[in-house]
Amino acid sequence: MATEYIPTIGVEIHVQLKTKSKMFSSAPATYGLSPNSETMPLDLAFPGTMPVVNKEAVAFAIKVCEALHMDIARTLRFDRKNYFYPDLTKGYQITQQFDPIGKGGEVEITLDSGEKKTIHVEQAHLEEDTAKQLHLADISFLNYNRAGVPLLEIVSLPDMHSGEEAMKYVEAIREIVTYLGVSDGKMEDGSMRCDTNISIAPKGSDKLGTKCECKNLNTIQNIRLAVDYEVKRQAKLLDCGEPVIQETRRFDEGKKETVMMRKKTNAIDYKYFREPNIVPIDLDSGFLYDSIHSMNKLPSAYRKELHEDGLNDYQVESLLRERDDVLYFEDCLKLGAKNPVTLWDFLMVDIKAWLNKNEKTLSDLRFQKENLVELLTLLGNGKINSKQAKEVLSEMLEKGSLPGDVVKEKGMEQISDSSLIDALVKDVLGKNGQSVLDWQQGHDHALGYLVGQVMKTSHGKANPSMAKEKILAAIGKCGSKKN
Amino acid sequence: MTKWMNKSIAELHAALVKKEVTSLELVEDAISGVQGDTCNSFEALCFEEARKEAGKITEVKEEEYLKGIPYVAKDNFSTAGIETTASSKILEGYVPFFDATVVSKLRRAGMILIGKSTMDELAMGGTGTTGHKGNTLNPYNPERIIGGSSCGSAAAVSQGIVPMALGSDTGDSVRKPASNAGLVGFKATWGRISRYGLFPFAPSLDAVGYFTRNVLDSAYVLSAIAGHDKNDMSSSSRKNEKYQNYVLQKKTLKKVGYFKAVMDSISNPRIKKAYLEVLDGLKKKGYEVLSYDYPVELLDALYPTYMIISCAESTSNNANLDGIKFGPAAKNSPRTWQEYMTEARTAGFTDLIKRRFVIGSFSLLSENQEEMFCRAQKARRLIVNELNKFFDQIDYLIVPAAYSIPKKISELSTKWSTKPDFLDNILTIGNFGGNPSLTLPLLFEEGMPIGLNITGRPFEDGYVFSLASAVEEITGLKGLVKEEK
Repeated sequence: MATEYIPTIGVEIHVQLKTKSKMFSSAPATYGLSPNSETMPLDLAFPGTMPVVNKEAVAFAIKVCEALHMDIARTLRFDRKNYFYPDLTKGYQITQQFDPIGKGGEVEITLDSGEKKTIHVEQAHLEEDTAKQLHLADISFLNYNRAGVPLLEIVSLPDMHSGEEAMKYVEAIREIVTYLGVSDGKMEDGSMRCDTNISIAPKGSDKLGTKCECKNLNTIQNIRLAVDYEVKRQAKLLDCGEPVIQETRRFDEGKKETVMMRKKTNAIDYKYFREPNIVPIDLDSGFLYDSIHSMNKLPSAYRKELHEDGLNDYQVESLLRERDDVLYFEDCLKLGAKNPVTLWDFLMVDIKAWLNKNEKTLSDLRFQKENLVELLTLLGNGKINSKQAKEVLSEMLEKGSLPGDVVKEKGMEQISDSSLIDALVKDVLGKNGQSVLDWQQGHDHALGYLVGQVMKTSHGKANPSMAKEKILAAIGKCGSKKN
Repeated sequence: MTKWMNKSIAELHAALVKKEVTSLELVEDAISGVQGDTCNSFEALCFEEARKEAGKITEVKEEEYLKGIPYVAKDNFSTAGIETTASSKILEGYVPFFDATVVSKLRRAGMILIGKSTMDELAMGGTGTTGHKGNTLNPYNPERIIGGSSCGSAAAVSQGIVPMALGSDTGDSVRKPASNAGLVGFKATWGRISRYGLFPFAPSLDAVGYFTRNVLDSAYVLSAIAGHDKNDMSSSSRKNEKYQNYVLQKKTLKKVGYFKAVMDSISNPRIKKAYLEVLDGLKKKGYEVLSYDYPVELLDALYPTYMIISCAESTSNNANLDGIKFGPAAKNSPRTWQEYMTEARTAGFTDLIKRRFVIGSFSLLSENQEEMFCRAQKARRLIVNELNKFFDQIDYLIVPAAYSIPKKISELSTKWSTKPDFLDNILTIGNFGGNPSLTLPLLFEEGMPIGLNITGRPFEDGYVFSLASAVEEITGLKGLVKEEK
């Protein structure tokens, strides 16, 4: 029988912080404009330039550390990581090798089975991004717009044991940084980048196996695929009596497998030492307080509230996928939407479908949240039925019409005036003596017919339940005159 | 034509205020001085810009102390539009597009830059002979070194070409050449003057410094260039002061100390005599003079500690010089980026620089870091702790800045001494502690000037000036100019 192996996985995540300016220079951190236009002298390492720590990046890092329940350093220190590379302008990267801003945190993940697990985070540290390179056949281009963009590197403990766990962990981190508004968290755009370290060991062994690092995981789904592939590959090697060799591999998206990039034997010595141009910065407790107390609500808090609102797991998770959706949802509840499930249905089914079809986002909607709440109130109060409500919504989406106007325009408002319904009922009963008789002799289908006649006479506007009530009051119980 | 540039800033200022001379005339006088330079003092020059700036000055007010007066900057200060090479091939043709903070502060104070001065390559050297333009000579004796690394600035002020020149001081790069050239050389407290735009050698030790020919001028210059700079996080936010007032109002502290080990090691009797005479003169002026037992093993540690820390930092600081962004590009069609950088750096640095980089890298390698770099950091801590103990009891440290006359250029060796004399490295102590430190002339020996050095507590730059001014009165050596006769 084949040996059973236990995989062990650690994940390093580089989160690009969406601050206004770069980590150590005043150039914008957006890096989308024309090449090399978003740079300051420091970004190209002109001689004599000096780093100035970006306060906003520090505040962002503090928020993430707090969300991950980490110990936050009270004194910030930075170090140099020295190596030569064309995309590294200074010949060193400023990072926090010896004293990271955050230490020892954790995050909870929920597996597909419903099981909950806590993943421990070793540390989080601030550093800076490199330039972008473009290599053509005979020429290379360098774009320094990205050089110096702030990064927060979050390092997990080797706490995960499957591709699913690794994926869920990255998802949880992505959720936190996007909800905090500190990063776009888009793996496909590189605003969040993951490296995984994967090793396997025979079950029961107290020693970890040789690890391989896997890079180039451009989607959350790829993390699971890469880890699962790598676990199988290593198991096959060990089963054949071959050793796992420590190396860096990358995920080949086409083949859905990991391929060797380079052996780890000649690891670079980064010659770390303290950055002498940044004196230690004592974090002011007011600054810490402000950073923590200006944090956005975290997904875990929303999750709890939404379940309390009566949404099921599927509804909660689909709503949490985008922070904008849950903010919209929350706002509508605050504005007086009474039924969260109906609100979810209108927002996540109808409105989202329309937005997707028209390639628009919530901010493009031509009506206000107040108008959606008004529509839901009309429905809730029985002024219109749900079929009509969806019809109104469609008008609102297409034309930006107000719900009250549409209801009036289309004559949808139900007749709920008691005397009007009395008159309608009197008229129908007078014209349908035979049906009344049938009812009284025990033919129960006659009631439905009579209600239908009231609706027909009122062109569908009569409140059907009121009509039914009044008919019953007039004609008595079914079979009351049965022989 | 009257010679102006051999005068002090104070005299020039008075003449400008009284309209006895115009700024343009001063600039022309400085330019003719540059043209008569016999010491190889200059890199790129900017006469036209200087003339233009000077031409705009029609009036100088009493409080505009530096306005209209020419100066020179060491070639490791970034100057917009003026080639800045740090006297290294690796930066030939590099024209910065921004000014160092000190350069823009001096411009706003009205000082006029007339050019850049030679230096030891990338400020790494103490002889003034390692720059890409060859040897910079000592005006007092061209066979002898002027010292470095701020050699050209020292030579320019000493020859009476300008009354002030910017330098930088990582070990003693202003204060040693000041001693060799009969000048006042001042290095401010670390963090007192912005280093933004100063090409870094070893940032934890680097300080902006400058040369003048008297102490009062030196104090006035600090008032103009000190202060916090948002571009330099290590610059102090302490309030700027009017440092000249320490001299003018004789605001001073009372306890002057010397290291016993240093006193005992001075072998030249004339230097020792002059040193003792100054100490004696200070006693007469009411100062208390104290001997202090600074541990000799820490003095012996100065040189290796300095070499390890400065080389380690320099190898990292100069890693930006890869020929990609600025400086001469690789020419021999390299095929890979590794070949490109290797070629640019091989051609750009001299062997002396490469040796420092190798030592720096070696001491930072993970297998050596604990034994070399970390040990040097610990030694630095001990050196500074002991210096702090000294300053707990005593206000000033006073030592000779040199213990013999400068070496002959022909006798220089690039071999590194295996048993260095701590006297040759005593001034580095002020860089380790970030202290304000000033050298001024003490005596002449065989026709060569030798300086005295005063070091104070961090941010007591003003008190250093006041003691220096008292010493200046005792020696009577001020306003020294070595002009071609």
